[in-house]
Amino acid sequence: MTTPARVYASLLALYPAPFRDRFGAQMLEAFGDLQRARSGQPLRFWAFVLADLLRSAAREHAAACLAGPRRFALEWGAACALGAMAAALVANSLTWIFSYFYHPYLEGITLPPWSYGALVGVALGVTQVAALGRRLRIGFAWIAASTAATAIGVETAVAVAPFTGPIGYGVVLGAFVGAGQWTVLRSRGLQAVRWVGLSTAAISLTLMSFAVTLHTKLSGLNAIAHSPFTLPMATSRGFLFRGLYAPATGADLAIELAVMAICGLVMASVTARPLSSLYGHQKSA
Amino acid sequence: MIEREPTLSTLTRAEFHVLLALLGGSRHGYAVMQDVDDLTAGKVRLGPGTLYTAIKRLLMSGLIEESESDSDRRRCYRLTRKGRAVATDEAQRLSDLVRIARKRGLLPSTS
Repeated sequence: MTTPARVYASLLALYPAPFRDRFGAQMLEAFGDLQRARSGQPLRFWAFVLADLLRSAAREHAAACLAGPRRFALEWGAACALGAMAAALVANSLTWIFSYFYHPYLEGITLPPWSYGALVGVALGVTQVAALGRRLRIGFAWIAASTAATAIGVETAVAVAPFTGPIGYGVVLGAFVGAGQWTVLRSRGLQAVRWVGLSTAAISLTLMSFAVTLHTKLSGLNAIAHSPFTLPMATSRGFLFRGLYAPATGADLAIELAVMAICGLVMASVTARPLSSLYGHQKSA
Repeated sequence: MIEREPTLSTLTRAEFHVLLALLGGSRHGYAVMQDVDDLTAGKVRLGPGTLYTAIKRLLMSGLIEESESDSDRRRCYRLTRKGRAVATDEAQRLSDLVRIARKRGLLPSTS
């Protein structure tokens, strides 16, 4: 191998590995032919080759980022983030409607926690199906399972939260949601223990803001609301959660939406890989 | 692994040149580069990087396919039926654009 060919071969490392493995040898051959044809103009030749290499390598890396599992992860992340934001908006709407029509005669009547859970489940489920339903082959069953599982999960989590605290809230809710979604995905070879564990981890991780959002909605609604748990983090991170209780200004709403988007992204980051491999498993089967 | 159904909504200039080169028959990479150079009188020169990124996309979209290796045992590529149809559509699209450009006086009229 000539020195220029050796240099070019080492520069091929700039391409993503799959591309290099498939086309590297052919590119090296083409480079050799090109170099022999333009041996009289080494400077112009190298300027041309390097510009071509850098431009195409950058393009390949960009394409690799937006393809395959990474693309799926990005889309799943966007779906979860949008779903969480939609859930916040829907919960806000329910709070607003309830407050608007509230009458002293209704004192003592409160909206049960499961109603918020159901709304969150619907919003998340619908967004996920809208974004990736066709690809993951999930539809109404996924929405129904998410809704039911989140409703039951929130109700149960609120009931046990005084004993378990915020972490227990996340564990209980995550376990219910995971179990509900597993009922839809089990026919595709999804392992129940794995998925429920991931769901539990994902929701526990997002608990900080997710649970606070739910909690503030619940306690904000009910003058004598039961407090599912005390929230020391609400004080310590008051600047973040200040806007979560019945957002009155655009800034409050923006903070709430940002927090929910982060929740969705955390959930997606934990669940994207197993979902992606599940789809691959199904395809190769 | 998630693999989407490959689609190619728009052809890049390099990809169209590769399709045009392969209309002349099965070729290996360097032969495509030479053909593009000749067809455009040196105005378009594809480097190995641009050529093979184009080839990758065209393969994924089913517009070209690998064919028998040549006498030097180099990997060759040829147009598929779909590739020929897409190249025809693209040529027609460009032809229509040129006709509009002529109509608007951007290019001299041929008649």
